[in-house]
Amino acid sequence: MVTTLWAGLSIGAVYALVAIAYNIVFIGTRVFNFAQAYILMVGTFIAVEAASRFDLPLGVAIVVCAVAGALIGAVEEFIAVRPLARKGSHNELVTTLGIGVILSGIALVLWGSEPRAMPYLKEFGVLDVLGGRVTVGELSLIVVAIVVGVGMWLLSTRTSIGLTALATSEDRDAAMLRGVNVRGLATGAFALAGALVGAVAPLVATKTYATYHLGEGLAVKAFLVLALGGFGSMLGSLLAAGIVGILEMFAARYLGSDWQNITVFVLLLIVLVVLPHGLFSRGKAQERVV
Amino acid sequence: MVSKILGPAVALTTAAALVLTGCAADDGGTGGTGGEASGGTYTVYASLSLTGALAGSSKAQQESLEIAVDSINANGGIAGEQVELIIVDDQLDPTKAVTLLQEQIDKEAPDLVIHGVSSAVTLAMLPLLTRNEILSIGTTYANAINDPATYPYAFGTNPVVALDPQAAAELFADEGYTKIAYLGANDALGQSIAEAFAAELPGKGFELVQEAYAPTDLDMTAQLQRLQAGNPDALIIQGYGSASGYALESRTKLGWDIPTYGDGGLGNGNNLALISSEADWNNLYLRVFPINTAERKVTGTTAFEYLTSELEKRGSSFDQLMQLYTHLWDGLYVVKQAVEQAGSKDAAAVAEALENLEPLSGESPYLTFPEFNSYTAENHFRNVGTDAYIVVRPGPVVKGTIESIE
Repeated sequence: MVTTLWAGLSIGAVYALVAIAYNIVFIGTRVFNFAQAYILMVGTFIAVEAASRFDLPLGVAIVVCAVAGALIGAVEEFIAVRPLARKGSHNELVTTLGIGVILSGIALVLWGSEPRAMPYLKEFGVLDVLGGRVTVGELSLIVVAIVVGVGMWLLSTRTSIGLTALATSEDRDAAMLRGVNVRGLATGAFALAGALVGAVAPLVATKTYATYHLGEGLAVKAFLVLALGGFGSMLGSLLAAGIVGILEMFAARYLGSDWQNITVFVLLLIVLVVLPHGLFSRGKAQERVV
Repeated sequence: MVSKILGPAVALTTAAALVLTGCAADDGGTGGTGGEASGGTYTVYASLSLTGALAGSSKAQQESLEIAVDSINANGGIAGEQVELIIVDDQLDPTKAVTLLQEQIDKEAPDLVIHGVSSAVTLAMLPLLTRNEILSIGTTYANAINDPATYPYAFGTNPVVALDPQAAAELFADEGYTKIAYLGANDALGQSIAEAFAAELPGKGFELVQEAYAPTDLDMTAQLQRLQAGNPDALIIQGYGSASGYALESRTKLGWDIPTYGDGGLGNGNNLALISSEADWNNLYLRVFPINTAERKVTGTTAFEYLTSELEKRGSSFDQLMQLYTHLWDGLYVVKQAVEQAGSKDAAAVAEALENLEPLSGESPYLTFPEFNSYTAENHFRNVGTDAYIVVRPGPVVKGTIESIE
């Protein structure tokens, strides 16, 4: 049972990291960036290259992937989001999805359709923790997701840059009048979110491998986590991701694999009917609960 | 605001899948190898999935087709006609495959169609092919494809799905196993194979417990725990790509060192070479055709040396199991034999010849199995017995060959 719990938490950690990156962009720009999971996917391939081709240590690979993720995020904001600013209709949903599809295509051309293994942390094998079996990679993912989730919550609620992002999100025009560089803030949010998923890509790849279609499934699951946790809520995303991961694994373990996705989507349906703004939203009118 | 985001976002999430598989190249991507027609042209149309999850195996099939066409053309073509190869990229999308095929038929009906690399694509194409009385052959092997009464012009280069469970049953009986666990994908092929095991093993006195995983699953721990709780004697894993790795790694994580059997799908490509650690190979066995191992009997034949040397010359990545390169080579050569035996390109005449193949003189051009037994009126899949399989302790795959660690 504890092994199942660890498995659920580790899968939930992957969902959480993507959902938190979604939130960074959402808080800063009110844009839902569908490409986020695809940037993570590109990061996994870069991490594999860093490990297997250039033999870089894990720490260096994390920095390289973070820089690459930040660049992709910033470029995405510049070409797929900025031209649509203030035009309404949420056209960014289409353009960010388009960026995701393009990233998948590029990954397919560059690295092919076969999955690629991530050598980092393999030597540490499996641990017995609290009566359950878990790999070092999985345990690291859980710890990193918690640290990142809490860290981003603090950043967005306790720092001036976080409060500035919140203010811009609430009223862009007022923020501009107060001298906030809203364009710079938007680019920064995309770059930060890209850097985050890039930095965790080496760790994620120890569980998922690098495969060009990784982004598709993660984009959907992380969106589901976001809807459950409440759009804009860092802690909500963290907790909802844990719930989704655990629910998936326990449903597969005790009800059968046919129920794995059914239970999660039933939960989503119930939550959206009863609490349309997510499990961890504080008020009906409030859609952002940092 | 949230509802405004949610609505389009949910729709777009669904649309994403459509976009990913539906962004069609305008021309479908033609290419391949042609030749100077002497007394006409024999047209082979191949629907391959050169983009998508099966791009690796499709690329291998493309290379083997091009090499086979070169080989056949250099030796007089098919019944004196040079073979023209048309390759399209169906992107693993049945709808696109049918659309591209219809466009080709509207232009000019091909003499032979390679009917896709996934069973879903093949099953979408077969009604159109049958209606237009076009001969087809391919590597896909879902049960529904092997239906000569409905699809009289469709043939396969693989044996029936049920053969693998039959071979497994013989193996398990020899090992003294009584309870077998099975983990497989819940896609069309996975379900087809699971049904074949369910039809075979209980009837032979085995207790069978089965679990499935979705192709998007990233962890198989729960499914394996469920199977482990039944305390089986052996485990069968069906899968391809990253799913194989997740299953093997989850098994290692659980410390479940049970005898584990996979098929050629599990051993294909870099599944074992790259996505599993040495710990995952403990007690792991593959049931495969000898062509994929050093035990193959065709090494040194003209056909095998030509195929492998051409793959080298072309700079092929050569990273798939050998059968991915030999199946369609065999497919083209057996059609050549049947056309020449029938003295006609007519699909019905060639199909009849395929069901009544005469012995060849000289060295066999066939590779997957050195002898090509006739198809029958009831079975349009490769006609071999359970002794077609051998069991190996797998190591990495190098140039199409599973390097056994024993």
